[in-house]
Amino acid sequence: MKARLPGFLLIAFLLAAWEISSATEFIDPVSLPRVSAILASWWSSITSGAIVGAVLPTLWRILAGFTLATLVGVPVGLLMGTIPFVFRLLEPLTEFIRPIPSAAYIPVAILFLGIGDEMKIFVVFLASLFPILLNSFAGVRGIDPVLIDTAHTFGTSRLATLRQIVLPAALPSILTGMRISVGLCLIVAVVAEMISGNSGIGYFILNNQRIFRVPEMFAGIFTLGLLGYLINLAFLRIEHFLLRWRTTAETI
Amino acid sequence: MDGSQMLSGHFATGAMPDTIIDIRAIDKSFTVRGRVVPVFAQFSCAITRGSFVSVIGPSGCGKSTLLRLLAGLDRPTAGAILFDGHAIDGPPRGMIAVFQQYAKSIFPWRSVAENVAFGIDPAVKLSTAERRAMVAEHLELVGLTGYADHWPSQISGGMQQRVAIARALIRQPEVLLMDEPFSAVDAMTRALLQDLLLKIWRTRPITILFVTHDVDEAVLLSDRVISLGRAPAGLQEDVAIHLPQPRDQIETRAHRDFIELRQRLFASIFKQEQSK
Repeated sequence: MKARLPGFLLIAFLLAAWEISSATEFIDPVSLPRVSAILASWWSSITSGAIVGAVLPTLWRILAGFTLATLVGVPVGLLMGTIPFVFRLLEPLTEFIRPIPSAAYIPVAILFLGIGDEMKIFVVFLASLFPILLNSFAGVRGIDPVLIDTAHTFGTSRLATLRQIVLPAALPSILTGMRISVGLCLIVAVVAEMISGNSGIGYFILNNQRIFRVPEMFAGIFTLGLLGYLINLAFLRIEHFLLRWRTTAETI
Repeated sequence: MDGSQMLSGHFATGAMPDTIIDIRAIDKSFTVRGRVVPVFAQFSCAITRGSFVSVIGPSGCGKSTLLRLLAGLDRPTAGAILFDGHAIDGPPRGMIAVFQQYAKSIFPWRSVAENVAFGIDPAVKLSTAERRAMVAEHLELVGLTGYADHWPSQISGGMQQRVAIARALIRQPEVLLMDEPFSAVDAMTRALLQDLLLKIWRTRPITILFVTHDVDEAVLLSDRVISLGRAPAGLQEDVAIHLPQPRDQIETRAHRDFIELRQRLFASIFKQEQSK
């Protein structure tokens, strides 16, 4: 905690600078309201339930899309890493789709899935699929051949090798992919909510901007920052637990 | 008695009644950048059940290749290797290989006890209590009682190799194949691991095939040392080691015959390394 103090002090300093420049009208206080005003409206939005009502649909879309991406990406990535035919079959396709920014799929997804949850979940799924898939694949490729020789000498079956050796050996890489995806999920979900629909934190921010409730708009942005931070923190905790065998070797 | 005769009996290559591994005229070559590099050409050798055989030779002579062929991790280009009379065409039941890179062969995500338990034959149905007892017995055998719940990253290299040995032995193999298993540890740890291996060989009905680049280690441990020549390899030397049992780090190493054998084998390999 002590080590983080300078970082927190910097945030406090920037917020104070913001407060002062807005209060002294050094910056236009209409576009950039005082921090105290934003915090006050943040608090009232929380107590009124408006923020929770906006966050819950977003969280649901992220959770659904991300879970689907994990269920598809991890097995397909593992198979691409273990079976050369699957790699040759899917590699060109993934290399072609991967560089396209996920937000570009939103118009297409709207055509096929409408503007409801299905479309948003699908876009979140697509955005988080490739980091998970490619990191699962890379995790398998990075496995030391000695581990596979060990499986062979013990006569371990293919399925048992996949489950007992390949999956745990690739897990650090898989989790890296999942953490990248979690970040992308939030971005894509918010963009999708801004483009269409009438729920979610993305819609909350855009709508408050449209009706010129600027402090509420900032409250939404602050909520996103906090949400991203908490999701990442939760993920790090899970990762730390799953990779607890590694912590003694790599003391930070 | 004539000392040299006592120390060097040449083994016949044909199958004997108590032959466990019979290597029959194998060829093995690799293709490196379009060129075919022969490693073995018409190589034959028979290993007696219950023996401790070390394989030495100049670097690149095919020691490790031979071990991979025996372990069924690689196939000969021609010829056959028989294990208990059956041709090896994949990792055979009853043989376990222990690799040099113990740090890469044991599973870092499994505790010491879980690593050892991995070796238990899945075809043998055991209760949880029986499995636990078996793991405890093998941890004790390799001197790791008290480390059952440690992660591999928390123990030393020598201890990690003990885990690999315990995991191999719990399978109760007839043949243990070891590829330079002690080459990555310090001298004292190596001596302790050598003693552990000698104890295992004395107390269990096991055949050990031990690849090493350390001539002293080969003479100290084995009752037969095979020295491979430069590739394509053949038997350069095939020496029976009749040093007194049980072998001892201090006394055996000081034995007159130990020194003589060690000198002879070392000179043979050194000449080949020099003539490269």
